[in-house]
Amino acid sequence: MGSARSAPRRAVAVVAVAAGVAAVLATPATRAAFTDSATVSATIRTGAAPAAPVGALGCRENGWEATVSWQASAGATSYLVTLYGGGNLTGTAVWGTFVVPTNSWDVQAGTSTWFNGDATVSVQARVGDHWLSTPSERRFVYAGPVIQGCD
Amino acid sequence: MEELATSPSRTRRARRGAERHRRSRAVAALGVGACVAMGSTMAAWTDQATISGVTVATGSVNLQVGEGASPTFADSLTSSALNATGLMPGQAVSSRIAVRNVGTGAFPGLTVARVLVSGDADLATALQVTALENGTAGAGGVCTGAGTATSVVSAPAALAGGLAAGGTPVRWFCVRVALPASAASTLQSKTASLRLVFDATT
Repeated sequence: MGSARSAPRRAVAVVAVAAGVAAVLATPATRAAFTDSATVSATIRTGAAPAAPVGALGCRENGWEATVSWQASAGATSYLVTLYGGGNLTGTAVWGTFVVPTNSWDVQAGTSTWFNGDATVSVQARVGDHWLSTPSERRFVYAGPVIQGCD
Repeated sequence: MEELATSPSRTRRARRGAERHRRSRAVAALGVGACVAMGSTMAAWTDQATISGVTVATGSVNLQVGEGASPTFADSLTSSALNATGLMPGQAVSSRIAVRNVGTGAFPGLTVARVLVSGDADLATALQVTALENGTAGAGGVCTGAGTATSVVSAPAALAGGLAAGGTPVRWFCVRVALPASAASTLQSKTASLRLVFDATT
């Protein structure tokens, strides 16, 4: 009878030891519940393709002239401008390509290159070290009086 | 007759005996009550012993971030390298971000998430943000390195492992913010301010 009464006491002791082990195991989780945050902020602004240029083709003695401008493109640092000829020069960069720092292009000198009274101006924006792949273009038709150098 | 003659006296003696017995029992009951009361008084006697010098100071977790090769650490920073202007489709910006714990307690987990603070929600959604462990930030928004790359989204993403206490070692990440080449044209000329949140976790 005496040993039978001591059995529950041992069981209680075992339970108490188990509870103590659980408390020790729980300690790291309690530490880990402490937390903190740190943040990094950044602002991203996207660029934009330039709007199609506006302007006019002009005829001058022994040559042509072009005065065009376009809406500035957000983030653009420069623009690549190309004047393509019309007629049998369609698709040919008749005056080469020009990198301009602002959103306008005014070529007064021109050449006597014949491009049949019309031409297309193409504008490509550069943002950082990247040329926007799709240029903005507009075809201009010269409708002025024909003078020497203008056909 | 003899029985009849003695019967009244016996009855008186019996009555007196019963009376004495009742008194004895009453006295005994009072004695027991007094003993019980005395026992309670004795139990109120008590004593204490104390252990002094038990001082518990909690530890701390204190995350800090820095940017660049020789970072200045703070609880929050505004990135210079990740501030992009005129970002076009296919372009990205990157920066080397350092994270350390200057608290007195280590922690086992670190997460990172991104939050749109202000600006265009569609742009914020379209931006791809990654954190490359031990990566190096290069020109053109490139991150190079053999570490694990974690996509940084709005839900906290685990960066395997935590941080030791005391500020060292520092964990380094190359954070890259990219606008996919397939970004919609409607995202032109938009602005989004993002916050990358590093969290110490269990």
